[in-house]
Amino acid sequence: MKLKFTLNGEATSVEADGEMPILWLLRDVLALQGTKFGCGMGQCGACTVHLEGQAMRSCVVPCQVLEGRSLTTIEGLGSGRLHPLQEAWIAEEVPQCGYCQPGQIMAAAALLAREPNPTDAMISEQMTNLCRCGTYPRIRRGIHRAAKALRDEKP
Amino acid sequence: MNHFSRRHFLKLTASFGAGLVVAAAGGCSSHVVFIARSRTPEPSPRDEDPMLGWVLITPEGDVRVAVASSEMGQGVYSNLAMLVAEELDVDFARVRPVPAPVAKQFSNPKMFGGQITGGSTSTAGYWQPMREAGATARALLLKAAAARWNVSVDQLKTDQGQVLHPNGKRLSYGELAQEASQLDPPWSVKLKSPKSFRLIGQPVPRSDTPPKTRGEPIFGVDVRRPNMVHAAIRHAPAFQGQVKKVVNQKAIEKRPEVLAVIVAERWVAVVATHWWQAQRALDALELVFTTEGRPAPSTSDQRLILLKALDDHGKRDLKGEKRALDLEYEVPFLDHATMSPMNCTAHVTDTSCDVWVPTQAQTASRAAAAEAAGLDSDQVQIHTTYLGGGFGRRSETDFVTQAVTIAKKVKRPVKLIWTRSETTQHGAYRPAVISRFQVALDEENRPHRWYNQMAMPNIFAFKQPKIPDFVWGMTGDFIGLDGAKNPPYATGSKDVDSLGVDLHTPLGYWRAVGHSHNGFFVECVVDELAHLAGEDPVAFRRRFYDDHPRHRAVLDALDNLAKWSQPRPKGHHLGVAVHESFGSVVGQVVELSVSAQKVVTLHRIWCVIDCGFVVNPDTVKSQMEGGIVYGLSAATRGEITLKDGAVEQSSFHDYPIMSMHEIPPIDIKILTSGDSPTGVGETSLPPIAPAVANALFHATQQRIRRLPFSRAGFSQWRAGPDFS
Ligand code: FES
Ligand code: FES
Repeated sequence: MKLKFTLNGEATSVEADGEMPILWLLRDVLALQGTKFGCGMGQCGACTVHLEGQAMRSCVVPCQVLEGRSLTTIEGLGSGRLHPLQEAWIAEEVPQCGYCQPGQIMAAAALLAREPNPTDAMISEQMTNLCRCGTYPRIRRGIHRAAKALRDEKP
Repeated sequence: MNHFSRRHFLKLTASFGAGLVVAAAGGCSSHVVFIARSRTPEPSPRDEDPMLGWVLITPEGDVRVAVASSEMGQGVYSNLAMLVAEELDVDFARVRPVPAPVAKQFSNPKMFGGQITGGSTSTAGYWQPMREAGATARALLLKAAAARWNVSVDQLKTDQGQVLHPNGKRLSYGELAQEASQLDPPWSVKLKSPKSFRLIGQPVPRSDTPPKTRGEPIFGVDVRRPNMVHAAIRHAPAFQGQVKKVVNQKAIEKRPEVLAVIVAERWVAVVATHWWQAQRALDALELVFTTEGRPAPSTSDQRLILLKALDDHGKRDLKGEKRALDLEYEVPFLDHATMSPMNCTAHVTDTSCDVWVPTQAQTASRAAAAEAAGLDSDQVQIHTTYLGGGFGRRSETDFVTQAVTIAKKVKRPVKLIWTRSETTQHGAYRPAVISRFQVALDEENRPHRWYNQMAMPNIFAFKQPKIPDFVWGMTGDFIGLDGAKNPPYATGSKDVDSLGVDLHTPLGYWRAVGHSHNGFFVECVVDELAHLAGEDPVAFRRRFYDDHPRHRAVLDALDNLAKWSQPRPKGHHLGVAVHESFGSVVGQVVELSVSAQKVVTLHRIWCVIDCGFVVNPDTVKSQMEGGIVYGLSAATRGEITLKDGAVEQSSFHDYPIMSMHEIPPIDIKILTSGDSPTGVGETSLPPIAPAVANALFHATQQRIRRLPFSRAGFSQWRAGPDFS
């Protein structure tokens, strides 16, 4: 099928099998490979992207749902400059292997969009992406740092 | 052979027309001078050219450093580049680490002469050669400047990428690189004294961090080659199983997107235009696998086999001992569960084989690729990508053999990616172990008899089936015994040994390897002894550290950091463990509480490491955190079980790992005790399981001697509430 949707702010049209998960459309057809394959079963979050601003695990969602919608991937986060989360991730030296991190950042960005001042309990509850390298303490610090930067930015 | 010393450095100009390349001569055990040979005739270094020297300085003054270890999260690209930059005296921002190709001169001096990232040896192994490479390059640049200015080298200094003349004139390294490359390198170089280090010892930001926050680094799964196709794979589920029949092969091959169905002895692969199509076609294949052969025993049978081996071996007589322990500790098989599933990309022609692979074992990968391609080793080029986790799993080469086999058949570049379930079910597992302890205290509460008999499959024997059994009779399973052999507490009669028991299950090196279980066993047993002696667990351990100053220093620092003796909130309990591995000593204290429903709350973890000498304190801290979390996953819930000769688990729902809400704050302190670094990456894992087990005992009076804790009903974990 022919799919028309907005990808990282740009109108996109692509020919694809509508059942192909968004993850594989991104990686193999559109060559956007920042979104990772961890489990393909919606369990790890390595494939997290934003569909209409909501965090979504792209490995279990067929790409036909994209029709007419807006999708943001790690490549499109931050529009032109680094997102405060990416800056915070750098300041806290969060990544180890880095494989889960695009998904972590996308999940955190969705959290901050909902909740500009998340408590530790909220982070515990809502950051469900897995990290095998164990970067959780730094992810937590990174989210707090980015939240503060975002608050300070606003007049 | 020739008489150059192994530390002799040789300049290489043949492959890169302009610029200075410094290579180490010879491998770690060989004394042969290496001569550079470029596969491509172009004179200038391009990104895809293999970098055959340690250091390359371009005429623009950019520095590339070949890094022979694989970047799997430990920060080694940055840390090894720092060693060169320190001695070269150059702005670290100008330094770019480049993965080294497979070549003798890049062998890890601490890993039997191969290019292997393992054993927590990267920084320790390359500590000397990489600083020497930097110092050699600097010496050549100084010599070139001295010649240009017609002064003696002694009058010159360097400063961050420039050579300084006494009268204030300056020449940049880039301007001198060409001339320096024509000079003979010095026979030996003097290295900086640690006191004058500018970079080493600082929390230098990792160069791979910013790209990793943008999703840019190329992991194995991200490799793209012109004309590339994709492969999905399914193995026979049982380890001994084989493919008997592919019922509907023709029909699947007719699908327009399918290029090939490849049937090997133990696996079937489908090649298609996209990976998802390949996987879908694979799912539609009707496969019949053989059930003949000897299946791996089920998990419950494996336990009985291990116990029987111990019983057949017999027990020590502890008669007459008033206070003694006579008990077994036990751990299950474990999978690495790297976040990125297994994968490899290959392109094979009649005369060449290129492999892009997230590997911890370049030398072995090259051999595996050569064999599968039917080519010579020197016709194979290994391109190391970023690793989406390694932990030992990526020191195997099964995925390399498969990708090359498939690529040879389809005559195009092929990217092979396993599913998560294939990754979980066809791993290289940490062995299950049962370890019997018979330990007795004397009048002074010293363990004067320490008998520790283990039964477990022998990893090295599994990897090297050609080694005859009698050799193991002489050497023992030295890997399985790592961390059990010489506990500081065994002050009298001691006998520690392992019985090799084949459980017909594939084995591998899992983070911390033998230490992963022996740390748990020994540090729990010591806690049991302290309890038996009626002594405080920290004070009890300290009594045995007189001859172990590093243990002593770590324990004292930990005591302070965790404020061990200070009262805790009601219901909070502490557990401690100290373990030496890979040349370093790590101690941890865990504070936790347990609800009536057996929900465990981790409040805080304190960790002290003595890693000899610190190259980058921030990456050491990262590795401490990572090893603790990895070890917690195993201790709390990790278990691979077998049924009908196959693994029962398939993904994170049945082989779960820790998540955000379960990880408390981790306070870390780093100690030093010398002038060269010791291991880091695996060293924080061994103490965490016993520290938690010991705290659980203090909280519940229940001794958990079998991992994971979930087996004893502790299946809910959380952290907090204070995360500051
Ligand atoms: S890859 Fe999508 S959740 Fe794991
Ligand atoms: S950084 Fe490696 S899995 Fe998260």
